[in-house]
Amino acid sequence: MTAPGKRAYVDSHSAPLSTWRSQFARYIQPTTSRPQARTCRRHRPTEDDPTHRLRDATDRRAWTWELRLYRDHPAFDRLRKAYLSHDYAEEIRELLRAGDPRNFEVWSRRLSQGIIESVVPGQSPHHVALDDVSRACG
Amino acid sequence: MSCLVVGQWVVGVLDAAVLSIHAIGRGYAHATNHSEKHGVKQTDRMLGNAGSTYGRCSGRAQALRFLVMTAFEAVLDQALKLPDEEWSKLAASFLNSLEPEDGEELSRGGMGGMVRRARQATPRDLDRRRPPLNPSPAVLRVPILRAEGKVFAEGYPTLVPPSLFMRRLVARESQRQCSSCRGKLWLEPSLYFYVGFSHPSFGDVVLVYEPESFDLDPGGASPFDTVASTSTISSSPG
Repeated sequence: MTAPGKRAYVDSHSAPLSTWRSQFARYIQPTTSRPQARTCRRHRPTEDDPTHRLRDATDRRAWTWELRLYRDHPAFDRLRKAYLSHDYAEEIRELLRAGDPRNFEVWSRRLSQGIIESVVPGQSPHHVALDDVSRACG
Repeated sequence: MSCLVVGQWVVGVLDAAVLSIHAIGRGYAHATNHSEKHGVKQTDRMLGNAGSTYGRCSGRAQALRFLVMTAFEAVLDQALKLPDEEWSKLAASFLNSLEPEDGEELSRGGMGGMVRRARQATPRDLDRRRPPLNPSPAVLRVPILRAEGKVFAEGYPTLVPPSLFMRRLVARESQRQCSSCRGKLWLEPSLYFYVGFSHPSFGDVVLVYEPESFDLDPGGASPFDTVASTSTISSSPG
């Protein structure tokens, strides 16, 4: 595909952030009678599709809607939850012990409120997050 | 009038290449594996329905175009009433039925060009004309995710623990590959988020935002699927 063709393709498949959800609904509707099934990780691709980029036979096909925000964003603004790998969480604890006590207080509160979750060693934060989102979708 | 019948009738028109009731009927019968008598009677009925407008067409080519486009419209109108899954199958099947056989050229007064244009125009036209969906609450309330701490070819993660204290995700900090792709697509510097299912072992920090977090913000959204062609042109590195 040529560069102008790619631009036209992106233009024709993009929606502004104010309206994207209706197009998202339309996008996932044809693939399943229960859109939330696909949204919530229960949709599996057909195993015989050679184009799937799978790590192994049990992996699922990645599919997303990419949202592009044209501005910086405060990380904790409208944050529902953050999942941290065990190594990251340990490093943050060390930084908090040695740093500003106010930071320590804020982070402790987030931990106690369940906004921040330290994922146990060996588990992928992303995997845990997707599982939680899946459960929340019903 | 069923979509199937209209589709077969159009095939009959194309197959016959002659705009008479008998010729179209024979083409219809050939396309549908019915008797000629059945095809002619079916065609007679259909042309009777559209007779008044059909009669005003001057010249065979114009009438032929009118008939095919009328059939197109009728099929599309019917298809718009169907559930998405059935519609997709029907639209694909109908449009495929307009493809000429291998080696056959549709040279009847630019019919081939018209069919090609119709094929190109149809998906977008259908999309515009479809009634709005009522997305389920589950779809409307899907949280927005961002995976941080990813390591790319340059070897540096997108975010390390001290950065979390800065409490700000910065749009201008992005990978070279990402910036290059974004420039080619004329997209603005962006912060990337997603909904759906991404690689589950990717990233040391995953931030989950409320569904409506960015509804009032400038930005865009596009499907990004490892199977669809969008994956090859998306501006996101992740």
